Amino acid sequence: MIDVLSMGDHGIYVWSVYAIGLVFLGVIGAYPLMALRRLKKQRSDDEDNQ
Amino acid sequence: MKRLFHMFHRMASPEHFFSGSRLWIFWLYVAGVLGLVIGSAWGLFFVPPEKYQGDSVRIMFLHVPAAHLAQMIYVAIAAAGAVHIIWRLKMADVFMAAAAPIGAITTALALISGIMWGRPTWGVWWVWDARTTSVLILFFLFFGLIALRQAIGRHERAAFAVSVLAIAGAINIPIIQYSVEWFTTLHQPKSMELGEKIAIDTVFLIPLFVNMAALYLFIAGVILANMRVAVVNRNQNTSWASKWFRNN
Repeated sequence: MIDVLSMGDHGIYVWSVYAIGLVFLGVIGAYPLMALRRLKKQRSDDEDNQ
Repeated sequence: MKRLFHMFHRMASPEHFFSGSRLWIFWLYVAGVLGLVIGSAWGLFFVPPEKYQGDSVRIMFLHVPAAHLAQMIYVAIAAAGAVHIIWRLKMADVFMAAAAPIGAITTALALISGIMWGRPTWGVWWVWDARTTSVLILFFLFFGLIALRQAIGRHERAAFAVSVLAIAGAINIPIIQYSVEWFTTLHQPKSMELGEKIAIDTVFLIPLFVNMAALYLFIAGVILANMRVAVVNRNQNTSWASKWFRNN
């Protein structure tokens, strides 16, 4: 397990890249889905206020 | 071929695009995420360390797909810019607006993973050589496209200016591609080229291709999803968009 994590001395570089990749791809994947929801909510709030 | 042309023709209509893209986005997300999980797990746990680079070679399975995709997104934006200037197709502009931020983030991922790969391999985080500098310019070009659109108030004018900048900036793509051949650089030369023997062993090549295909599918889904948001946002007052808002 420690060998897998440390990968010689390269673990810090390898795992950091995959962690950053996960965050970046997660954010860009979730953003449009959340934006569509926000748009719907904004529209329904506007209609309720009228 | 006729059916494909018919499908593209239909998708040029915002209403048809909005209703027809939903299922595509779902399956592109599913296939992309599944492929990335398989390809990354394969690269991280089932590939042996490389003879010279050791375990740092595992960064390649994310770095190469991100770098390749970033350039392809820019080429697609430049092509959409040309389509917009020639045919005034609104969906081409929607594509440019949706793809530019994704291109910027993909380029950032390529740059960061390159920096993290450079340290254990070259002994330095960054070198101002032709390859790294031209990719950094690509990153700024994506930001230029985003900033230019936001700086110009009128939609049509912004779309034209962004199209011109995208086409002009495309000159950077062959510079990125051939920088490792034209200039002395720490970056390794191309390992894959059409018609040439691939210089990567199959044991590394298969997970690389899996991640490459998966990232393409996922990013295609993300760009389509971004386009869907832009389409409904720009057409809020149309009858089909109002109907969609009421029914959801």
